[in-house]
Amino acid sequence: MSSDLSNEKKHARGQIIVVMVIFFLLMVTVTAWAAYYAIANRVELFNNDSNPRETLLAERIDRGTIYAADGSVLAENDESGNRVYPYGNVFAHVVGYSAMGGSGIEEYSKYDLLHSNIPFMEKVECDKQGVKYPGDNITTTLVPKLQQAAYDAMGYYDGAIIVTEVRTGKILAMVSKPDYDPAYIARDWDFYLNEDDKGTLVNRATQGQYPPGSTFKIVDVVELLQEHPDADTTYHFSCSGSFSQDGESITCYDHDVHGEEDLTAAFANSCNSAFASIGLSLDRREYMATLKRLMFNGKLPYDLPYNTSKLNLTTDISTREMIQVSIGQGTTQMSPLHLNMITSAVANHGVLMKPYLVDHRTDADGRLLEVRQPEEYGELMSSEIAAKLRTYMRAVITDGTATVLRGQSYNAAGKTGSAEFNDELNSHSWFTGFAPAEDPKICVTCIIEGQGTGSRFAVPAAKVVFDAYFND
Amino acid sequence: MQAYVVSYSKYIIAAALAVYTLTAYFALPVRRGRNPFFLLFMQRFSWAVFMVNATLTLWKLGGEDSTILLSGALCTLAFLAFMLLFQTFYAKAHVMLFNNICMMLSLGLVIIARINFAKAQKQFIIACAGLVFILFFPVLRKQLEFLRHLWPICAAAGLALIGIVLLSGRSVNGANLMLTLKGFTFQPSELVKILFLLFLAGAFAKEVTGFKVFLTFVIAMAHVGILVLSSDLGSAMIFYVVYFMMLYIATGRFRYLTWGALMGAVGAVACYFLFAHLRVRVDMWLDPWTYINDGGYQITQALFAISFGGLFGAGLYQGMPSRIPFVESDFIFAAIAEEMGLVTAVCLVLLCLNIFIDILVLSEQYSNRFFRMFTFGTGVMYIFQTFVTVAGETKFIPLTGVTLPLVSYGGTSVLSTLILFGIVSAIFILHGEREEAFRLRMEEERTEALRRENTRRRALQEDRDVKRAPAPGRKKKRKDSGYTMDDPRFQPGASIFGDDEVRF
Repeated sequence: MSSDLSNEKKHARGQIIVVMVIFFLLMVTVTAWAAYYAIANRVELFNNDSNPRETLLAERIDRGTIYAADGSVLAENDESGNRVYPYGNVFAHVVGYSAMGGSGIEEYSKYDLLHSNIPFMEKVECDKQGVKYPGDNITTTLVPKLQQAAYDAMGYYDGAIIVTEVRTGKILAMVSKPDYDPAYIARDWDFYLNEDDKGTLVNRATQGQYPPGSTFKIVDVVELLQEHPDADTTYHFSCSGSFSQDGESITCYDHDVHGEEDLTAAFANSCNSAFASIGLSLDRREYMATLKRLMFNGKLPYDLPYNTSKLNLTTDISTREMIQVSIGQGTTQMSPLHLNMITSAVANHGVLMKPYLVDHRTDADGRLLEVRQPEEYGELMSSEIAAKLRTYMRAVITDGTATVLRGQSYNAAGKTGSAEFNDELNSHSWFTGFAPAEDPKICVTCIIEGQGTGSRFAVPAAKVVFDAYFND
Repeated sequence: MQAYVVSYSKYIIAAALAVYTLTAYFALPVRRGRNPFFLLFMQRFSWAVFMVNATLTLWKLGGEDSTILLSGALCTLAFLAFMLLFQTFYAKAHVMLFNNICMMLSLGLVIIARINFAKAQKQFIIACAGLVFILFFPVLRKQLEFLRHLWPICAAAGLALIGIVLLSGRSVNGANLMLTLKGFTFQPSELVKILFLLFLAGAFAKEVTGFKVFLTFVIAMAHVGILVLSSDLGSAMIFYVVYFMMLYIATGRFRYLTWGALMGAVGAVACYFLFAHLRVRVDMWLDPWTYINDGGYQITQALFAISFGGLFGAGLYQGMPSRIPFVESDFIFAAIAEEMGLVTAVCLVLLCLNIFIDILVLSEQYSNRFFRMFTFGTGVMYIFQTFVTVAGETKFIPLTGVTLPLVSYGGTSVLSTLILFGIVSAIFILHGEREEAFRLRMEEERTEALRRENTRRRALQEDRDVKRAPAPGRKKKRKDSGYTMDDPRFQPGASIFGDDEVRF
């Protein structure tokens, strides 16, 4: 034991150093984690509905102004501190409201709108005058001219239009109907909450869930061309007005008989029989992978609230269900935003740009603080497939279901759809497309609820938006 | 005026804390027993800046109530008086430990005063009582060693106390933690911490046989078990970790740490399936957002608070720390982060780490095993408790609701931490004095030896002068003297007492 005694002290030193190092690392890790977590998530945590600090800042900060891309005001505080919305109902859903828990850009950007970055001396000046500090201002990507055109095009119909810039992902217009006046949201809150059965407050462009109908044939073509790259030239179908397999049958719209078709014609005619047969011939497993890549049943690259699209496809679903999937009917549900993303990927060589609404942020004196750069989300389909799809979608305008858009100063391309949503054969009217077809600039997706075929309602509405953009 | 106060105040607070923390780390390597006067002055200076600034801010933004000014001044003066008195009473005092204690208490008092002024006053009174204890406790330092014989009593008393709480305690926040005695409510698990450390230090003060490992293991796990049953999971974790760390130091065998970690993991999983209240805690930790208005309310509100402050904080009175339930006792770190900023909060954690390293360095130099074990255990208990609360508040580990020592509101917690630090400081004083006494004795003996040597030489010289005898060899001379400058016991930092006290 005496040898232990002489080593005792030396031993303890080593062990104490070990313990010191253990706890040192532990504390450094937890501190770094705390600081990282707090800073990295500050906007998200501030925006959380259960965080009461918004009201705290509202007492000290004069909420900033929201501008449109052309510099006009979309939302601002007037002298008495009331929030005013100069465009009234036109920007209702996309800009949203700040009262009653907030929605839209007002809610999404409230961290910026409620933080003031003016120089210190100006804050002192504010204190002297006894006024609140002015919050930062944000400028959106929204273009009032297009928004107004889209709003007018919708008329009294319910539905939504979303317009994006293909190369950047900027959202240029987003309309949802029925609409409301955000300035009076507090007054009408009870009505919207308890009596309103139309879902007025829902932004149908991002949160609406509709069967995609024939517009889903874009997705069928993506999968068909992935499995058979030569289908462009070799595909052939003879349409007799209906198609049956395993005792299940489907008819083309209005019982049209399309006759002999190649892929371009089948797509342009929106031939249900052709696409039912295509759908049944596809490899289910690969189709599921493609749907995943196209963000079905998954997250969309979008910062504000939206609903995920639902599509039920497994390897063992019945013939009947598979036919329904291929023509965008049955249980499939999709938001206009999602369809717009797929369409703009077609227009942009298969690459999706992440859609966004806030372009830049300045302080109250106009000093630039932050500029949002366009962001690539990723490739949804190969550029070859996208190029072929663009020619098919162009054929829809020249020889197919959307001839309303023929002979314009711009060459549009797109796809119509009529999505049946109940057993009485009522249908939603869809159009999704872009222009110019040879060098796409904007992508327009439009849905009009319960009004029949795409060509009669949605295409003219989209035309108004295209006209506003190109003919000025 | 508002902008000046709000803006400058928070930067001054962050800067004062940063300077203080920096000096604390600079002072760490300074050899024990010597106090680095410039660094200690800087510490007190930045502490004073913090106090004056915080008091003025609280006064200005808290409704310009003169009570706040008076309380702030009283608190500053009281702490300053304690610091100076302590230094004057005990020449061998560890001044920095005392500075750190006052800084921690001040930080806590400021944020508690902002949240609930009455509670801050209560906390201040208790803190003063604890400081008086520290001030006078070293008087009994000669009797400290006797405590090591009391470990069986400490173990029994500790078990009895938490046992009583388990059976008859008042339920607070879902856990049986409090005991009410003649109108005073206190949290026995805090006091049991002292008993637990005395028990382990005493048991490990002598040879650690296999039987003793077994015995201490059973007693320590009994503590942990009772605490788990009382839902006091934070304390259970602390006791568990402290036991294995002390066992490791006492035996020098790393395998005990490995075993401890393994058993801890298995035990935690077993408890997860056995106890519903533990499962709830873990679920709330994994996903508090789903239960945001329910069980996840506290932690999500804490995360909102920490994140809202940013680097330099919202400023005192500019946040909403009161939205967190039990903020002043369980979420003081979140409140500090929100209103004083992440820089201050990080400084606070670094300061806790500094106190821990400081105490471990102290323990390393004691060759008296009882003193070493006790000091070491105090350090580990302190830092691990800090870890459990800070990590719980930031969703790093499941929330357990223990206090941040010296900072959080809670009389028993503050008092027990102060008692522990008081004992540690008394041990340090005792050690310093013995070292000094030993040095003096050595010095005396050396002078004596030299004197004897000189006398002998002179005698020899006289002898040589008379008989012309040859001078004796160097080797022989050294043997005679007993002490030379090469003697290891003259070297700086050498072990100087206790060799005769440690028997195996």
